[in-house]
Amino acid sequence: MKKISVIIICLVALCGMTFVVSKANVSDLGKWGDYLSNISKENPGNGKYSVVLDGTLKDIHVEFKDIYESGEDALITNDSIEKAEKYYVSAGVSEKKAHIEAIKYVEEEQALYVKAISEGYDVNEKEIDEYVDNMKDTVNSAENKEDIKKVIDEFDSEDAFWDYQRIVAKTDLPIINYTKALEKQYRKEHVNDEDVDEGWNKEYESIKSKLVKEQKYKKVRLSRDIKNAFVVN
Amino acid sequence: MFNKKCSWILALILIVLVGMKPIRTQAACKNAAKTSQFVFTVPGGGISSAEIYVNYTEYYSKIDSYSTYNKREVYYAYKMTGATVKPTFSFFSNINARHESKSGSVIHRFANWTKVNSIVDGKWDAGGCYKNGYSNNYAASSKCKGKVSYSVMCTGANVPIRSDTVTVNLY
Repeated sequence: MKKISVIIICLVALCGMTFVVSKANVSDLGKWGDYLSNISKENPGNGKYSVVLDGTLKDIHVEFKDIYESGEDALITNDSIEKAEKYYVSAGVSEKKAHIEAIKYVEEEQALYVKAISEGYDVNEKEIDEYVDNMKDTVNSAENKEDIKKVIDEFDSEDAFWDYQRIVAKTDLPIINYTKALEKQYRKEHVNDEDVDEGWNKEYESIKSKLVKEQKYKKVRLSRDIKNAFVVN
Repeated sequence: MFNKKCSWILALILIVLVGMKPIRTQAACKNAAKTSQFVFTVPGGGISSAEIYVNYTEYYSKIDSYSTYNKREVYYAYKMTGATVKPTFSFFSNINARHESKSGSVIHRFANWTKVNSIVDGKWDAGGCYKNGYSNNYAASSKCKGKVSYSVMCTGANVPIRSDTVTVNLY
């Protein structure tokens, strides 16, 4: 009888833990959505520096105090690092590791963006609208659409969420178009490889590392750490 | 004497010929296909997505109430959309094909695959086809199933792995 009681207590505890873990994932996506909703309402600044030297994002201007790192063609802002950090923490990563992963992510994102623009992959409003409309259809058809719904629910409205996605797409869509072209070329050259999928996955990581190295990112401490080319005229 | 011997031999031959029934065999295939889409939140605030098509075919020959499943092919195609962080998929890393009993226990997991030439429709980013030639017999009453499970990973996503299964009844 005692043994049965112990087994029952253990089973109940296990079920409880499973529920808590599941609930944590649900509420973290909600936290992420809440954070995105708040930053989507912030007004863009009128700072002295442009975050990139070319492309649509050139219109984003920041102050010296907002800059974390400076590269050859892109500036890494504190806000972009904070956003990625919040994301990794919501995914269960420790704060220390989240900071490291966030820097890596933003450096790669900016390096990919400037390369995509230099290769002619900038996008216009019509292309962004089409991309976001396709994304809406994909979300509505997805097996796990409830994940995105939890993020959307934290915005003032679903339209507010998709308006924010239009802003994100200004960075993402040039990168998507550029890397799809790279992938197509890679697959053409490696068509007879036994596992070309895995080959491309590794190649993409290698491309990101190479582009980050080319940017030679440095922590900004003084204004002379930032190239004059970034100063808005 | 010759006649008696010959008669016996002839009778024996006739008995064997009449007793031999032609064995009825059927060669056929069973097939299932599925398209699934998955979405992932990513650190930049955007969404990455994966659309995956898997077509699974078991080839078999049937003798009376037994079927021998002696070949299988898995054709897959996918379209991934993502910027810095995008979903990834590769046959050898993300596909798990096996035969299961009625109760769900694994009878055999297929490990040796050979690439097959295939064409991927322009709608998809990539795809391929692999075949495996392991052979196994099942009675119709066994209610065994062939399953191909696949997963798609988006490293760096909030919930990084999503998966699905395509099932073929082996009875």
